[in-house]
Amino acid sequence: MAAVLPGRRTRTRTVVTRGCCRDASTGAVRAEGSRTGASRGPGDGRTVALVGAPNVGKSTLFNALTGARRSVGNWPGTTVEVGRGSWRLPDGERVTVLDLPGAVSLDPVSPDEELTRDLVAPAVDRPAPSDGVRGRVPGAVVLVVDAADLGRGLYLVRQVRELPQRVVLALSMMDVARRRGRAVDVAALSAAVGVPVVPVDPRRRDGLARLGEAVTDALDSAAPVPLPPPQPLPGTGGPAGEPVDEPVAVAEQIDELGVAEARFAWVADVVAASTRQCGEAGRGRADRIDRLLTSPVIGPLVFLAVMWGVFQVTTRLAAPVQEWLSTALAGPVDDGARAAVGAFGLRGSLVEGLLVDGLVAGVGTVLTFVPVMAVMFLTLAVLEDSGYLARAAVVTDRLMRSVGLPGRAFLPLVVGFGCNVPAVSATRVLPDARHRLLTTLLVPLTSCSARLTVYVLVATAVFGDAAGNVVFGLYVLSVLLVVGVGLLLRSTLLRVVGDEPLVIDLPRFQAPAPRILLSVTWGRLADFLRTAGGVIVLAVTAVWLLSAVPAPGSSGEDRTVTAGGAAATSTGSPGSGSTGVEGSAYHALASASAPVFEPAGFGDWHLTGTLLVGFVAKEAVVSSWAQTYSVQEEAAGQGAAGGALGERLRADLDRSSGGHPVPAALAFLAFFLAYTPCAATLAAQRREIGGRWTAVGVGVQLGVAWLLAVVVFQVGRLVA
Amino acid sequence: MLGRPEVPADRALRLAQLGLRPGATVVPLHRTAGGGRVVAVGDARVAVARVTLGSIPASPPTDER
Repeated sequence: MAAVLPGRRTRTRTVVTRGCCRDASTGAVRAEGSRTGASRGPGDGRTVALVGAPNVGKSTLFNALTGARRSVGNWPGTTVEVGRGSWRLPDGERVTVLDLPGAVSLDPVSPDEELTRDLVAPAVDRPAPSDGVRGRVPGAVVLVVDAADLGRGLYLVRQVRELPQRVVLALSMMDVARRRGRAVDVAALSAAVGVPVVPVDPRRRDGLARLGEAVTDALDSAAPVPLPPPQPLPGTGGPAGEPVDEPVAVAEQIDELGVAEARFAWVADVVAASTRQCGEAGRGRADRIDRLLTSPVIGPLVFLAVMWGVFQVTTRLAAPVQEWLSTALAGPVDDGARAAVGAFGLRGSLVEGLLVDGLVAGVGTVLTFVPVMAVMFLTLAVLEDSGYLARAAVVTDRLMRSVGLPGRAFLPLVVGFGCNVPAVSATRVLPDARHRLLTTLLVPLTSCSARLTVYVLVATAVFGDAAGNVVFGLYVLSVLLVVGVGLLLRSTLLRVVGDEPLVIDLPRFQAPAPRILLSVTWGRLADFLRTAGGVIVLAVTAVWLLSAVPAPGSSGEDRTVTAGGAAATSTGSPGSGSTGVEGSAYHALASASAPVFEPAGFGDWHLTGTLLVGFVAKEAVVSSWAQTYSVQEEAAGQGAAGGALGERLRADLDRSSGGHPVPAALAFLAFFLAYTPCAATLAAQRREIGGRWTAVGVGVQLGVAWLLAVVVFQVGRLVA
Repeated sequence: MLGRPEVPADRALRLAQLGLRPGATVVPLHRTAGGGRVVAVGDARVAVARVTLGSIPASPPTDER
């Protein structure tokens, strides 16, 4: 049966009772206030905020409601910024939905939780809104609560119910609760909490319409009467009835804990009134897996094996498709583009150089890496959605603590392996400001996916079948750099770093849902392509312009001029189809930086020029290489590993290193891994830690990268 | 059964919100790579550092549970 909320006209749905663990989970109680009521209550009536603890499925629900592709993951800290989308309610009205960072309670311990608190419970003494969201009270709050762990989610529910706020409770993970032998009586829960409760399964899109109806009703109703703030319970220092052994320092803190205990008592009452345990919990197998994944010996080995597997799959599975795309690009696509340009009478002109040798070659070359990126994003999505990454944070806790960081710092660093920009934002999950500073400085050393394109290109060209191992080695080097530079910073610039012992919630394991995996993979791939596309067009145009402009002091006569096209020269012709790049401003800039890298074995302007481009964006490096080498004509019909571009790279490495291309390639890759990731990351760092620390970070990155490259080349040359 | 943790109030509050609060019954499950432990708090599993666990007095659960 369904509950009727006191003092309210209530529409109900039939709750079918079919026996233990099934009853009451199929219905939802919708509470209605007066649709014509004068009191509209607080907040922006057309904005709905999704609020809940980490790992309860808020972002999955947000994506299901709005059709967005916000990053989701079965690990804490996936959401650190507010997501915004549009949700069409059942009555046709569109409302704005905000996806807020996960919060265990409204007592924030980190900036992401603070953001959620400020939005849900704004106060006059807090800073004014600065981002268009903070301080803007939503018209209704959808509290997402895990039905399988109701007690923990209800503490936040209690805190929100103490506010004058319209609330709908979305009950997720009902299937998990049933498997655990736990029956949740939705009607009883709704009556106990005093708000409508709707079971939802965002992964299967069940219950969304009912949630929409409940939110519509809530928005059209007055806010429910807030629950009174609880009075501190006596004897809060220990188990009930026991005296406090060691009171905390101030009475205020005792009051805070006492109030918390009163809320916990309310939570216990609600859980008792609305749930029944009618079977065994049955986590034995999950606990056995956890024991392995987090164990002192096997855990780190599994972690390394998983990471190695990711990069093997990434390089090997995608290789045939990539090769096919390369051949198509070098043949039919290039021929077609030249024919199209020729049809407009522009053959051999500057325009052909820009369009065909620049944009088509640049964008096309990056497109050949789409299979690589797709496989990598997919494998990482599997790890995220399965719940493994939180275990990885436990395994790496000791490693993190060795550099003065808590295990939770592993989470933003893992994000960095996808892209450094959101990783910098993800440092907000860390409570301690100095931990955030140190982690933000270390994020650029995590090897983002944009760097993968260059790794694969160079490694395939120089190392052939061993490319997968080389790429894996670079990721291991990335981890070692994080540790090494962390130790360096901690012993020099950041001597005082607080200690925060590990406390991390381990999300339950789950079979990754194909829909989620594909959605996450496509979302990240689209982001990569959007960023890469925009950056490539700008970078290609900039390189083309610099290549077309003679260097100061150069008459232009010393520039290589070929009548038959740039492909006939070794230097190529990025500026046009008929003139070489030597003597251009681009050549001068790249050549000026080349001597710096001679000790590292890659003091060649082709290589150093792309490092300059890579400082702006790593996505543009491969395209600028393709542009400067202008290899389309030679590449036609070649299907060798790495293609003609790879062969040119190998030849340049061979020449610049005096016949030691292997150590030179390793040195180049090491430098490429360690130096400044991109301008966007610098902007994100400046936002989080300020310009001075960002500049310090750039200096450290360049210094470490150069030193590392020189050591790798010199040692490698001796060994070889 | 847990007693009052000997940590600052804000940390004690967060531990309580994760289920590690005075009077709660938890089950230590296994050691972790960092020297801590995974404990069962009801259906949930929480990995806790050794130093934090050391700050929480614990006693065997009473019979009435």
